[in-house]
Amino acid sequence: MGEGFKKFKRKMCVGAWIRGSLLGVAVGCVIAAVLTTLSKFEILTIDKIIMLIASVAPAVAVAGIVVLVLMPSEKRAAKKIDRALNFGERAQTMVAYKQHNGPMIALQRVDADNRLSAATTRGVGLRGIVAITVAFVLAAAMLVTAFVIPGKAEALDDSNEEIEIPWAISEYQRVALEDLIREVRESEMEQEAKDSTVDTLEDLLYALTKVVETESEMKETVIAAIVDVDLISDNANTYLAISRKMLESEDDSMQKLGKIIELLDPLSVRDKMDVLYVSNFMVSDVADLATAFAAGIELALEGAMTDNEIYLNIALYNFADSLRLVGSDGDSSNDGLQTDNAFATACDDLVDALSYQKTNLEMRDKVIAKLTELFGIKADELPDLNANLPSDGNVGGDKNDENVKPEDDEDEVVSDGGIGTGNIIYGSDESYIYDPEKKETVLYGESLGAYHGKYLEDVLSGQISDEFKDLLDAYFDVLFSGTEDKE
Amino acid sequence: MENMERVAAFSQKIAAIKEQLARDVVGQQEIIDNVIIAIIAGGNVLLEGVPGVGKTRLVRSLAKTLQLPFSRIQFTPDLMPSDVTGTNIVEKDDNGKLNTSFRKGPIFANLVLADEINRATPKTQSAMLEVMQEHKVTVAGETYKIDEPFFVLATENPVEQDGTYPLPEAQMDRFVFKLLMKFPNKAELADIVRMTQITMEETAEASVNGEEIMEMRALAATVPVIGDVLNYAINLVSNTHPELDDTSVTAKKYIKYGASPRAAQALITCAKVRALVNGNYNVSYADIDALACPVLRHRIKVNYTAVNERLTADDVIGMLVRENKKLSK
Repeated sequence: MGEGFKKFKRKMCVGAWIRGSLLGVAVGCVIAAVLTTLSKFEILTIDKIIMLIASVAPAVAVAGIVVLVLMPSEKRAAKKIDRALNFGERAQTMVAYKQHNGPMIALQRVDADNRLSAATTRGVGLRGIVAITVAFVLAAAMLVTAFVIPGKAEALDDSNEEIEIPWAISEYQRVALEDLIREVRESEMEQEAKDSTVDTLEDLLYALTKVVETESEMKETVIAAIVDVDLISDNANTYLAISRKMLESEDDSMQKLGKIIELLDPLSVRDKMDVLYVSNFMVSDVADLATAFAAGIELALEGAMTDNEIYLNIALYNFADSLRLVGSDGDSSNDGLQTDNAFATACDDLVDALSYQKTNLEMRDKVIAKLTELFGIKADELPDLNANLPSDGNVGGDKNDENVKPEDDEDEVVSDGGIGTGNIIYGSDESYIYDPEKKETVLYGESLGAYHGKYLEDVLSGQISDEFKDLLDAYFDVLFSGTEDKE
Repeated sequence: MENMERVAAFSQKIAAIKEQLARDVVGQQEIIDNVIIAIIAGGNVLLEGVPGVGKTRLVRSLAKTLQLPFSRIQFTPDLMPSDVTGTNIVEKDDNGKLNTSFRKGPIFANLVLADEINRATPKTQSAMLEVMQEHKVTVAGETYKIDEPFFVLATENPVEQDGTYPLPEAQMDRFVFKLLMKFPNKAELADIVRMTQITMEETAEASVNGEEIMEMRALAATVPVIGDVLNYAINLVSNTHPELDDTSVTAKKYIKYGASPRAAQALITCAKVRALVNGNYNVSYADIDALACPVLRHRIKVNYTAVNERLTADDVIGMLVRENKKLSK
């Protein structure tokens, strides 16, 4: 065949490949789109590899079949050329008589090829390309849409994220928060810490009452208040930092003092200070000891880098000053009385200071517990707190102390009725209860607030009788306020 | 190269013939083209036209152009077959002996104009048509060949049908074409009047001879035709037969009886010539379509449905061609 004919046949072959490929890819896209959509809406569970194979294999098959069908033979190509160029069957005659000889046939062949060489291939071999391209584009769009549309779970999540749940403080919450503020104000916290905590809670009350409009804003505001309260406690409770510095000392008496402070047990301060005094300071030459001890206390205070306006810091500085006085005077004239007085005063001061700091922590815990319960803040929603607590989580006491939390003692059986420090136990946060609204089992503490809130709504709407109300009030009171452990 | 020269010469001769004919015949280009095709294809033509449109003039002019001996036979009802073919006559020679000799009739020419052939009796018509088919005359057992090329152009007057003997279908089949010579338009008529005011004689000059016509015929016969085109022509002829199972809808509806196999032969032979006349080296569907009416119009008979719907044979053939085109796709 001449070059003119080959030119056209080549174009047709390329056209067949293009159309076959486009159709094949279109088929693959449609299948992939359908499978992806079914998978997203959980109508069909299909592995990604299987999905890929299920899309690619038919695409390749369709492409192959279409190419085979469209790939023209010489005869078909000649027919298409004659039709496209209105060629008067020149190409077909040329192909049909290619094996024949004869002067007229040779002339016809030359004439036909010359005309083909001069003709343009435009429009030949791409029949239906527009429709195929449109089909390809639509199929590709289908696939993109299938990937982009959110699936069942995504749609739910998205809907949850997108919808801002409106929120307004309930009467119960407002009253409870006011009660908490009053409780803090009436507590035996150190004054500065108390004032700061009250201010934080009052700001919180204002914000929740006047500013906050959605649930997410509410949570944000409450969590911020909790963090502030924790920080206030962290700043106010210097006992741990000071005691740690003291315990780093090689001096035995300093270590003993450090342990006394670390215990955070005001009731045991006097006994332990007496032991310290008797064992370390009832000596004839106490001046150097006292001076060294004072220096050690001051060193520990400086090393702790805490606020020296805190009562404990002031108490320890005063103790150091008293001891310096003993050191300078020698205390020989008073037969140990000066030293004794210094220790006695220090005892009084330490008892008060440690009481404050213990109360600070207790109120901190109470405020945080109350806020999380009142406003439904989950534990995983809170940032890291308890920065100033010992690693075992104990608030005062040691492992042998009967006031240790039950979860820290493996031998202790956790009762359904109580955790807490000292003789007061609170509602358990460890037992689980089925929440019918959430349709799942949750920690008791998470649903307690909701239950109480529901109870209060029923009370306000008059659905609870007076007799039953008294019973329920007492029940919730135990849960929120704790009860004396009679054991 | 030699063949290219032959083809070039073919085209030149065709152009020369047309040029010469145009000097004597105004308009009628399609008629001239088809007559030329028929001559080169070796076929005979039936011309239908009212008197005075130039049928005789065309043949005379053609005879001059082709340098072929020409005779005209005016058919009348009393014309005998021997008046056409010739007859044996008895002659006294110089010695006074009586001898018989064959006196050739007017049919012994290369170009014969059989005027108003439908006025002759069937017997005379059949004598004429036998010669047309076989190119020879048999009289008293003796056969006399007619020189090639032999071409008969017969005429029919569509107006005067009284006292005529319409050609039977079997004999119509011997004409490769039936051409309809229409009355000239005003411009053409004006040209005719102007031309014939100068001279009534034909002014065409010789451009080719009989031998060259035969060469052109041989060359045209070598033009290739592909199977699809051949089948197209065969289907066209076959679809004129309403009695066939797979025939066309048009035939079933409008045709009483269809064309003979000679129609298919005529289509292909003449299509080859037409292709070459138009400068093409192969037969195309267009060639078949262009020759459908001249080849088929006298070979099919339309039925009363067509007559009722005022459809002519040409109308029905047009429908057949369209239907054939659709089927061929």
